[in-house]
Amino acid sequence: MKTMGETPPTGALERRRRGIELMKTAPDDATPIKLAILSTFNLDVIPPFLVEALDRQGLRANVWLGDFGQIAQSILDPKSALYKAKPDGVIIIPATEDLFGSLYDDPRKLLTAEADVLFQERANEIKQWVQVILEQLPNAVCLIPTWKAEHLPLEYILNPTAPNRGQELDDKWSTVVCDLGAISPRVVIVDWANHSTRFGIKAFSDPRLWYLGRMRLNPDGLAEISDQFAKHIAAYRNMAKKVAVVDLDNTMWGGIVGEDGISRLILGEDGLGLAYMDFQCELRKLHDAGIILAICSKNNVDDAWSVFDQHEAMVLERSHFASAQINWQDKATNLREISRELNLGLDSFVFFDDNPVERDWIRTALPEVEVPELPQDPAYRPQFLREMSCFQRIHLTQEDTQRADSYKAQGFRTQLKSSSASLDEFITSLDQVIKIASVHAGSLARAAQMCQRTNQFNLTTQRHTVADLEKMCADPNQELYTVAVKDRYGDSGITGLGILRFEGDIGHIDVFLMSCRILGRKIEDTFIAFLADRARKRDALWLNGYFYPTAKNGQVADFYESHGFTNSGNGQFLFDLAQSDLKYPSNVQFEIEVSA
Amino acid sequence: MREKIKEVMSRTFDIPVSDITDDAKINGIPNWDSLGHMLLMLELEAEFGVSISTDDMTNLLSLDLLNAYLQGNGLDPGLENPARIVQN
Repeated sequence: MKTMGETPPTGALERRRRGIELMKTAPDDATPIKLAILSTFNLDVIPPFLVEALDRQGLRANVWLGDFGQIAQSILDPKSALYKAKPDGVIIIPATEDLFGSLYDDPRKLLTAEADVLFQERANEIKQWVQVILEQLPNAVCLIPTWKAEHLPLEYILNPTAPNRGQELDDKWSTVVCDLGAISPRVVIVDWANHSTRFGIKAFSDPRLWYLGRMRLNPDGLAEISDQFAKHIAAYRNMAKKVAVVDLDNTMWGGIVGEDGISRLILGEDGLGLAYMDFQCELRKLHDAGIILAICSKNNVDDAWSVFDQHEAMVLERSHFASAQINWQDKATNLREISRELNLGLDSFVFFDDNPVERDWIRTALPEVEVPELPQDPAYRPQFLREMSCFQRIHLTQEDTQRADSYKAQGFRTQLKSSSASLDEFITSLDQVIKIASVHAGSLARAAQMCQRTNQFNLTTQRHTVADLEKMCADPNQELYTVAVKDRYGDSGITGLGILRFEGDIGHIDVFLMSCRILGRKIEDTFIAFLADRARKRDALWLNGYFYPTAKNGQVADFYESHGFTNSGNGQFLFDLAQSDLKYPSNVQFEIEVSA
Repeated sequence: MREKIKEVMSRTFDIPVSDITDDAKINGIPNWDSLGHMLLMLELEAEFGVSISTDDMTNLLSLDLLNAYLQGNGLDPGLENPARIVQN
């Protein structure tokens, strides 16, 4: 786990040594991820690099390494050591120099049909590998990097389109690899070709290591590719942060608005002004990708907003922010206030501030908040933001793009809540429409994402994956439902999931979870009443609910009892469907879409 | 110099300095195998700011040889050299 106050080393060899230390210490909490690596070249020294890179993402890993050059044997033999290792993730690393060695050695072959045949064989082969892994390891994720060879088959020919120069080989191969991503959500493509090109392929290899050890990557390359795998694994596990909290003076613009005045702020097309504009532009992109933006600034509130209202070069508008704490209170208090207002845990927050004192204070006061070391020089900040992994995800879902709007509405709802005389009036005034629907192919990814991410209103915290849910959908004894909510402020999209499993005359509620932003609006009451209806339709006599306590779901400990269930011990709660009824709240409209 | 090299070996091979005797050589102490040797070469390059040729890498297979080499004496022909390593 990440240790507070410790700055991880930057040198690749130091990182390897840190990885070795990490491998010696037993994981303190989470179960480690088991990763298997298969490659066409020697990667015997990669395990500590990978363990170290994953640690930076807050993940623990054990690494199993296949003998290099044995990819097909490991994958195709169901009794191989690969499957005995029972990995959670399989990383396949084929280098194009190895796959197409004969073309590299004799580029004349690039002009013959032999090249096409070989290419097609390799393409079919890797597709088969992936399919076998998905089948043999029904819960594992498969990670495959695209590849950029360290040299071209025929460097003496300069024309980039000359067939025997072989420049197209890597590009064509990248397309093959990228297409593998369409096979299943469990296939994650790591665009190493693009990444290594931008950072310098030569810097990641060392011919001496190749000739003496058949290693295609030097320590810098091993550290870098490990970082890429770690970032993709973290993103696959939906560990992305949800909220970016930004300071204003010297973060969003250069200068201090209260002292310099609007006209003298550094913000605009000239010089460093453009760096501040670009920084705002990156924040806007995060907003559009579903990251919630909030302001935390020590300022006079009128001064601060006047920049938004009057400065022509402002990229961000007031409406981009779901919450703003602009006052002279200490920033930890303000962050807590933002967290309360948005109903999102501080562990999903990232705090941007140019002032190292403020950063240190937040790190001390609120260690769960991620506080990046914003570069002192504003010119480096847009790039810094772009390369931050804490906001990275594999895909952008529709809910992601709507989320920011939904949270902005949350701010308004909170205000409305305080002005409505009673909770019932408030709920009525929202004009909400709840849509309950069977989980289908189009909502599987979102349903799995909620299983992975929802911590607070989650009765059983079952971290189901897409593959798990797919299986449940196919089971005639299980019914899976999502809840989506619309109200006068916007569409929250799918924000809840319930899974019923029927056994005899009992309907077991294996999963019941909701996003916190829709709580307290009787949506949970509607949803549980709906599940009771479904159980009755299947002639069940009892509903059996479960509550498994975690560090974060204390707020739902009495959910079942407050809905008339009887505590039968061991975290189980029974509801007698014959004797009593779960009522739909009168002021909530709902639509139902149940698949046959 | 010898002590400094032992320190680099200790952190490369993840073993205590006290386990590295003056007559240490490849395959004679834990983790000093052919791949460990590559890493040792890179660690020594970083530590001493030198660049070691591939040929020298295949010859510098004992603490004695490394000590002489890093003191600027090149490959000492008078010292016993363990068999050259050939990988793969």
